[in-house]
Amino acid sequence: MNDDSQWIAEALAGKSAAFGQLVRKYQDRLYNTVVHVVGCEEDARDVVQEAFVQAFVKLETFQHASAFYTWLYRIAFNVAVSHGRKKRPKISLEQTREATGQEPVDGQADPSQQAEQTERCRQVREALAALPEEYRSILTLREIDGCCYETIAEILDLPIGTVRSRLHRARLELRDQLKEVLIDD
Amino acid sequence: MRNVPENELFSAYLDGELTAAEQAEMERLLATSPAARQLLEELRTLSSTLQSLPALKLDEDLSQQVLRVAEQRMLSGQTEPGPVLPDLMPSTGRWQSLARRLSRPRVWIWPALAASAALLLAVLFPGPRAGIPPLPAKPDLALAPALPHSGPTEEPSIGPAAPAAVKSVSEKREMDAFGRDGRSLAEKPAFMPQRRAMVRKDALADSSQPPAAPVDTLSAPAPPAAAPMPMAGQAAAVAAGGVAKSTEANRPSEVGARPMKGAKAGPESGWRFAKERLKEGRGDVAEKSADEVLFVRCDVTAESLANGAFRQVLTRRQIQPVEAPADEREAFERVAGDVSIVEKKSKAGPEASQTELLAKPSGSLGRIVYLYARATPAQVEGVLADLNAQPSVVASQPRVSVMARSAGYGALGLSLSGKAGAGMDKADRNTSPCEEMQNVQNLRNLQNQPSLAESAAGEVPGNLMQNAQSRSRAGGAIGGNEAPDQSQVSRSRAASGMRQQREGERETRRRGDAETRREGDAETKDRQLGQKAAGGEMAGVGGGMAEREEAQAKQQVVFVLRVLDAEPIAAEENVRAKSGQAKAAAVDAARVAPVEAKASEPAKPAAASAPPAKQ
Repeated sequence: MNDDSQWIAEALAGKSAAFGQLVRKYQDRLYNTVVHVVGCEEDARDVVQEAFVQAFVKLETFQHASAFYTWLYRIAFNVAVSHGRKKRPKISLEQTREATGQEPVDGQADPSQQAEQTERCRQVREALAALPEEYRSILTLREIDGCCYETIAEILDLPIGTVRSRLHRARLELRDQLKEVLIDD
Repeated sequence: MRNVPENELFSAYLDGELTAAEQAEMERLLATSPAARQLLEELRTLSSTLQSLPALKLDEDLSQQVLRVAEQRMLSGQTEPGPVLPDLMPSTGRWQSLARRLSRPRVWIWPALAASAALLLAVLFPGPRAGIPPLPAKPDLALAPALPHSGPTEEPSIGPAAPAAVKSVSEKREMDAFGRDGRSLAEKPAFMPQRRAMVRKDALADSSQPPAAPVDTLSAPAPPAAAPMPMAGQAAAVAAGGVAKSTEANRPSEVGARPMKGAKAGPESGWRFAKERLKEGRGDVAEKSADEVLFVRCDVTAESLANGAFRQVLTRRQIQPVEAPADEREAFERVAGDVSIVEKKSKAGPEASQTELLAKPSGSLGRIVYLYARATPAQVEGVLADLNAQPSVVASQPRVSVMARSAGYGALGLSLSGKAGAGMDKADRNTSPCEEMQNVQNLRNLQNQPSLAESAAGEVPGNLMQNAQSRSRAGGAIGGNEAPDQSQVSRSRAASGMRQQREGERETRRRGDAETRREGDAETKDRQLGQKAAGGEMAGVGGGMAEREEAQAKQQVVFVLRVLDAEPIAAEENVRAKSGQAKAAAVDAARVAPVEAKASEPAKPAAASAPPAKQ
C-alpha cells in the first residue's frame, strides 16, 4: 500500500490529518497545472481548494481504479468547468507575475539574461493562456504536468485517439503563436 | 498518409505514444521528408519550452482550510458550493444600493438621504503583537483549539474548530485591547443618544462583568460560541455603555444566547428562523428584516482611534457602536478575514504590502478593530463623507460592501473584496468567479451557523452527525462511482465528537458566567433603570411604535478598521520586556481599571459629552 492509499484509508477511518497530508503532497502540483488551465492565480487557488474539499467530502467514492492524483485532477477540472472558469483569463499570469515579481529566474544569470528569461516566460504563458480552453487543458496536462495519454484521457474523459489528435492540434496552434519566440531559440 | 502538419503521429512520436507500427511509419517519413524533420524539431522545441516554464507554487498550506470547509460542508449537508442563484439575490436591498453608490468614486459626493435611526455595537479587535506565536498561513484556518500550532503531521480539527481558533486569537486581541488605547468599550455610553438608549437586561448584566485577566488563549482550548444568533432587530438592543466584554469569563456569546425581552428565545430567534423565512420565500425578507450588513472598511491611525477622533465622527452622525452577539461577530470577522485575503490576491503594486497586513493579521504590524453599529443609509453616508473630509482620521478611502447577515443569501454575487470604486451590483461589479466563489464560501460559513445554534438549543450532536451523513449521501458521487458512506460517518462522528466536547466546555463556562452575572446584577440594575428612563428601549422592550419602526429601518453596519500605526503595541511590548512582570501586571491593572469603573457607571446621556451634530 503506497502512501496515498494509506492516507486515504486513514482519512476514511476518521483521521482527517491523513487527508491533510494528501493536500500538502499534491497542492502545488495541482496548482501549477490548474493555474495554466484557468489562467488566473486566484481562480486556480480556489479551484485547487475546492477540488480538495470535494475530494474529501466524496472520498468514500474513490475506488482506487485510478491513481488518487488522477481522480483529484478530474475533480479539479470539473470544478473549473462548473464554476465557469473556462473563460479567457481576466488577470493574466503575466500581469500577476509582473506585479509580484515572483517569476523565478536563474539566480546565476546576469540581469540581461534574467530579463530575457522573464520575457520569454511571459510570452509563452501569454500564448498558452490565449489558446482555447480545450487546447490549454490538454497541453498543460501533457507538457506542464507530464501526464501520459492514458491519464489525460481519464482526466478529461476523452478517448485516447481524441487526446492524440487534440494534443497535436494544440501544439500546432501554440507553435504558430510562438513562432517568433521559437525561431529566436 | 496525411500531409505533414496535420499528422498527429508527430506529437505521439514526440511523446513516445506510438505503437510499433506507427513508430516504424514515422521513422520512414522522417528519413525521407525534410518538412517532417522540421516539424518534429519545432514541436520538440515547443515542448521543451513549455516544460522549462518555472513551476508555480502556492504560498500557503491549504490543508487546514480544506478540512475546515469540507467539514462545514458535510455538517451542513452541502456537497458542493452552491451556485450563485439569481433568485436568491435580493434585488432591492437598501444597503446594496447604498454600497453600490458609495463604492463608486464619482459618487463619493454625498446626496442627502432622509432616514431615521438607532444602533448597534462595537468591538475592539486589536491585532497581533510581538510575542504571539504566528497564526497559520490564513487567519481562518481550522486548527484544533488544543493544537493551535499543530505541525503538518498533527491532526487538525475540522468544522467548528475553525471559529474556535479564530475566536481564541480574537479574544486574546480583545483582551489586549483593554487599556491599550486607554479606553474601553465601557466608555461608549457617550455615544448613545439619550433618547435612543437601548436597554437589554441580560446584556447589561454581561457588561457589568469586569474583564478577566488576560489568558493565553492560544494555548488553551477555546470552544466556538454556539449561541443562536438573534435577528438583527433583536440583536440591536445592547447598551453601548455596557460593553465590558470579550473575556473568557464574560463571553459576549452569552448575550446572544439569552433572549431579550419581547423576543423569541432559542433557535426561533436565530439562524433557524432566518432559514425558515428563506424557505417561505424570500421576497419579503429584504424588506422586513435587516438581513444585510454593510461593511465599511478603512485604514485608521492608532492616534485617531485612541484620541476618539474616529468615534467623534460616528457620534456626530448619531451612530452608536454597540455590542453584537459573539457568534455573529465571529461570523462577520471570519468573513472579513476571508475578504481581506481575496484583496491580497487581487491587488498589486504599492498597495500590496498593506493588503498583506490585512490578509495576515498575525504579522507584526497592524490590528483590526471592528465597530458594530446600526444605522440608516443617511447616517452611513454622513459618516463616510466626514471621514473623507478628514484625512487625519482615515488613511484610506473607506470601502463599502454588503453581505447577508442571516440566511446567507443577501450577498451572493456581491463583491466583498471590491476595492474603492468597484461596483457592487451584478451589473457593474465585475466580480471574478474567484470572488464569487469566495463570497459563496463566506456565505456558506455563515449558513453553517444554524448547526451551532441547533447544537446550543439542545440538539443531540449525534443527530447533527446523522443529518450530515444523510445529506452527504444524497449529494451524489464524483465520477459516478457511488460507494457506501461509512467513512463519512467516521469523519462526521469525529467532528461531532469534538463539537460535543466543545459544547460541554461551553456549558461549563456559561454556568460560571451566570454566577458571575448574578453578582453583578445589583449594580447593573441601576444602569438599566437609568437607560430605561432615557426612553430608548428597543422594540419589544417598551419603545413606541415610531421608534420601533425607526429601529427596523436601521440595519447593521460593521466598521472594519485597520490600524496602521502599530507603535503603541510595540511600545507596550517594550515596557513589558524591560520592566518584567511587575510592570506588566501594572499595565494589566491599568487596562482593567477603567473598564471596571466604566462598567459600573450608569450610562451617560450622549448629549453630556458629545452632542450629536445636526445631520
